[in-house]
Amino acid sequence: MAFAKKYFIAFFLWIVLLCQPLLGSQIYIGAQSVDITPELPIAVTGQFHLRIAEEAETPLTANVLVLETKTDNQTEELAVMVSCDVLYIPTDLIQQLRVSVKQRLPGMDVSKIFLNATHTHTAPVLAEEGEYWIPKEGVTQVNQYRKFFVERITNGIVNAWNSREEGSVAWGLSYAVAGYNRRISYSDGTSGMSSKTKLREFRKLEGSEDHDINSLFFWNKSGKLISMVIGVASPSQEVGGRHAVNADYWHPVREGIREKFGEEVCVLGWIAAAGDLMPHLRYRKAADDRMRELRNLSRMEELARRIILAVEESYDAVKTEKEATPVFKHHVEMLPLPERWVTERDYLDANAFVMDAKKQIADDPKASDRLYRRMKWQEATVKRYQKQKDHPNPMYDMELHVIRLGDIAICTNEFELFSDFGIRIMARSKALQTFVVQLTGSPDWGSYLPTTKAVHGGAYSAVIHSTLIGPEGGQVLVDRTVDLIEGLWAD
Amino acid sequence: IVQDIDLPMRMVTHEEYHHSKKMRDEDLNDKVRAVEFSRRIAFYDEVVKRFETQQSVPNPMYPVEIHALRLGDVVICTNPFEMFTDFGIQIKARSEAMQTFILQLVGPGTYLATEEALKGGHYSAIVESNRVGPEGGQVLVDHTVKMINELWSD
Repeated sequence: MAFAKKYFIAFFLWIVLLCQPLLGSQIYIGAQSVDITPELPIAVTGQFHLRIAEEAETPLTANVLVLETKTDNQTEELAVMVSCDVLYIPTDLIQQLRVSVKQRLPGMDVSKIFLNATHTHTAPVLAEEGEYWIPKEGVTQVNQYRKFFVERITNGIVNAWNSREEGSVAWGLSYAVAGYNRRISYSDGTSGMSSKTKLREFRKLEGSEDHDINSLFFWNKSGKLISMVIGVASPSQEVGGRHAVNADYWHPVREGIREKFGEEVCVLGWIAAAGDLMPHLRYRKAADDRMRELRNLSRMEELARRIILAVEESYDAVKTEKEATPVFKHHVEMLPLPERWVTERDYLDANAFVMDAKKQIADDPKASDRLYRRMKWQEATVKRYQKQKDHPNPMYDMELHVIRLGDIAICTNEFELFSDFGIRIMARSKALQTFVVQLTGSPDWGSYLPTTKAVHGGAYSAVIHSTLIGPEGGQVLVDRTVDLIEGLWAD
Repeated sequence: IVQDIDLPMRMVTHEEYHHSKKMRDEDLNDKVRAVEFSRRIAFYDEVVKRFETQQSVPNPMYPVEIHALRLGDVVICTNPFEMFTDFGIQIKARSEAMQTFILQLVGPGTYLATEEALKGGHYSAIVESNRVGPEGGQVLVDHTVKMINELWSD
C-alpha cells in the first residue's frame, strides 16, 4: 500500500513536470498613469502646415503597465507597455528612454519595454529635427519636450515597477464602430485618401474595416481593477486639425471608463492595424450626425460611448474568468524588412518639388509654415534614392515584440499598418485573441504600410513619400509575426 | 416608384459552357445522382442554356423589378439579388436621402458580384452563381440612384 502511494505521488509529480510548460507562474502587475501635457505654447504635429497650440483642451497622458513573472524571486519574464497620447514615438527616443530607465532600474531588461502612440494629431512634435520650421523663441522647443517626455515616462515605469503586486488578468472581445476605411476607389482605378464618395465614379472603399474592441482587464491581489487595455482599430484623429493640444477620443474614453470602473484605473489605448482607417465617415454622415445629436453628444463623446459600451460588455462576460498564472512569454527581435524601391521618376518628381519649395522659402520665409514639412517629406525620398545607389537592396530593421499572455497574443509594428495586414495576422494567429499594436516606434515621423491595391490606387498614405516599406515588406512582417505567435503556442 | 429595367446578363464563355455541360452530364447520366443532385444539375444546366441562347441573342438582358420608396428623409430601395456590399455602399453614398435602406432578395436571387470578386473566382462569383455580372450591377446602381434622387428633385 505504501509502495502504491509512493508510486502514485511519483507519477503525479512526473505529470506535473511534463505539463510545466503549459502552466504559468503568478503574474505580477503594476500600473501608473503619468501626465505628459506640454508647456504651452508648443508646435503640434500631424498636418503638413505648422500649428502652434496655445491651449490644452485635454491633458495628454502616458499609461504604463508592467507585467512580470518570477522564478526564485528573480524576474522570469517581463513586459513594460506604455501607451502614449502622441502622434508617433521616434525610435531614437525609445532608446533614450530605455537608457533612462536602466539608470533607475539597473536590473531591468529594458529591451522588454515598448511604447505605442495613439496617433493623436494634436500632440507635440517628437522628431529631434527637420519636421517643422519651429520658431526658436516663444515656443517650447522639441528637445525640451523630448526631455520632459523621457523623464515623465521613466518615473511612470519606475513607479509601476515598484508598486507591482500579485494580480490576475482576463481578456474579452466585443465590437464597436470607431474606425472607417478612408481610402476611396474610383472607376478609373485611382484611389483617394479621405476623398468624396458622392460621385458617379465612386466604386468602393478600397480596404477593410475592423470593428473588434479587444480588452484586457487587470486586478490586484485584493480583487480591485487597476488597469485595462483597450484595442481599437482607429487612430485618434477625430479633432486632428485643431491648433490645440488634445488627446482626442481617448480622453472621453478614459473619463468614461474611470467613472464606471474607478478613478484609479489606468487605461492603455492600443491602436490596432488602422493605417487606412479613421474616425471620420465617408458616407451617410448626415444620418450618423442626426443620431448623435439626438443623443446630445459631440462626435468624440459618441466614439467614446461606443467603445465604452463594448468594454462594459466584455467586462461583464469575463470578470469571473480571472487568471492569476497565465502562460507569459515575451519575444523581441529586430526584423529586417525590404524597403520600398524609389524609382527614378519618384526621385525626379520629389527633387523638383524640394528645389521649388526651397526657392519659395528663400523668397518668403513665411512660406515655410505651409511648405517646410512637405519639403522635408519629399526630401526623404530624394535621400532614399541616393542611398539606393550604394545599397541596391535597402532593408529597414524593425523592432518586433510578440507576447503570449494566457490565451491571447500581442504583436507590435512600427507603422501605420493598413488594416488588411492586421486581419491577416489575426486570421492566421494560433492565439484565441490577437492584439495587433501599431506605431510602437517610428522611423522619423512615421510611415504608412500600404497594400498592393493601395499602391496601385495611389494618393497620400500609399505614395512613395508616405511609405518606407511597401506591400512586400508588409507581407514579410505578417508572416514573421504569425510564425512567432505560432512558436509561443508550440508546446 | 416601381420600374422594370433590363440588365445586361453575364456572358458565358466557351470554357465555362463546356465545364458546366460536363458537370451537368456527369450527374445526369447517373441514376442515383440524377435524383439526389437535381439542384446541382439545374445549377449547371442554366449556364448551358444561357450559352446556347447567347448564340442567337448576342446581348441577352435580364429583366428586374426595382422599387424606390421615399418616407420622409429616408428612402427604401430594392433589388432581386444577393447583392455584394460594394454596390449597396455606392447607392448609399450617392443617394440624396439622409438615410438609405437597401433591401436585397426582393425577387429570385443569384449573386451580384463585383469585378474584384470575379477575378477571385469561387462560389458566388463564378458564372453559375451570377445571371448578371458587374456591368449589370453598375447599371442597377446608377439606375437606382437616379430613381432615388428623382424623389428629392423638389
